[in-house]
Amino acid sequence: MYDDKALFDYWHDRVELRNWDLMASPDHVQTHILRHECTNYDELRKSSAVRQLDGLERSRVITVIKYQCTARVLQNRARQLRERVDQIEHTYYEQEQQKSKLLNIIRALQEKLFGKDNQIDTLKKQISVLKVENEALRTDAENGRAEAELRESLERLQKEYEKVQKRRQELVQNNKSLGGRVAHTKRFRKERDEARDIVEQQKQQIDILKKENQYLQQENEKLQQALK
Amino acid sequence: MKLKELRSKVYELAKVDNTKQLKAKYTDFKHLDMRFKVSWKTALQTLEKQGNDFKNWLENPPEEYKEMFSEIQEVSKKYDQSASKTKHLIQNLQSITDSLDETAAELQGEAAQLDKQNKLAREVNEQAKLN
Repeated sequence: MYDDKALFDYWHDRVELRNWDLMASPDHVQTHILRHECTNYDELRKSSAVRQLDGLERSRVITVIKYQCTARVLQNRARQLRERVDQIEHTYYEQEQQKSKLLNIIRALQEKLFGKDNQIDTLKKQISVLKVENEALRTDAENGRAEAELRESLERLQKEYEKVQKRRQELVQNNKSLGGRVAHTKRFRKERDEARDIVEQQKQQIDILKKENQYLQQENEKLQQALK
Repeated sequence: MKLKELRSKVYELAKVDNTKQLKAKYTDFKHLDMRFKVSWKTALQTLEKQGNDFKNWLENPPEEYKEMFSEIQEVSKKYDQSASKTKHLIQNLQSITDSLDETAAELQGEAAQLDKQNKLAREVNEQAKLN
């Protein structure tokens, strides 16, 4: 009927694969199940072309079909496996790339950290210099403030002094004018007192004169009496 | 060293492509006039010194980073080890797949062979019957 190769090729081409999920199953699947479930083995075996053959030839062809179906399904399963392995390999290279990226990022971070640490050191030094400067400035400022305070109080005192001085001058002026009046009053009083004294003296003289006059009158009267 | 060489070395060390990027990345170089070769020399020296300082710092990190840095190295080493294991396993799987393919192919060949033998045997048998 056919020569060997043609027979095998013929049946090889007739094999149909199906039930891809089962073929791709990650679990173990028995070969006969794969052959029955994932190929058209049973249909080919029972096909009219096979049934028409006589017993010996038929069993021979069925064997060929069985081999073909088994081989095809196994090849497919091997292909599935290869695909997964390729995927794993791909993932592996991706992971390697990501790892080296991560390492690069870590190194960049470390470099940044190194830079920041140096910066911190520099800033720390600057801070200590500034602290000293600040301290000096603070002292200066304090001195300045003390000076300003002193100056302020000095000014205040000066103003007060000026005020007092002015008041004093006013008082002096006042005193002066008052003094004039006092002197005048004094002089007046003195003159008055003197005048009083004179009046008193004159009064006394008058009294004395009056008494003398009285005496003289009495004497006069006595003498007149005596004369009588 | 020629200016061109100097420049490419500086760019390589600084990981930049032009003067503008260089100056943006390193404020120390802001005052350098890059039209002069001497500026490039200064830049190269500074970068080399910084690189060495960084390397030393990385090898002898300050106390606060020591543990973290050695952990990074340790984890990275372990990752490499398990990665090479994975790689090895992948190679194993690949050869297993290859042999599986071969087995399937051989199976076909054997089947053909078997069939041939069967046929021969049958012919011999039939011949014997005829004889």
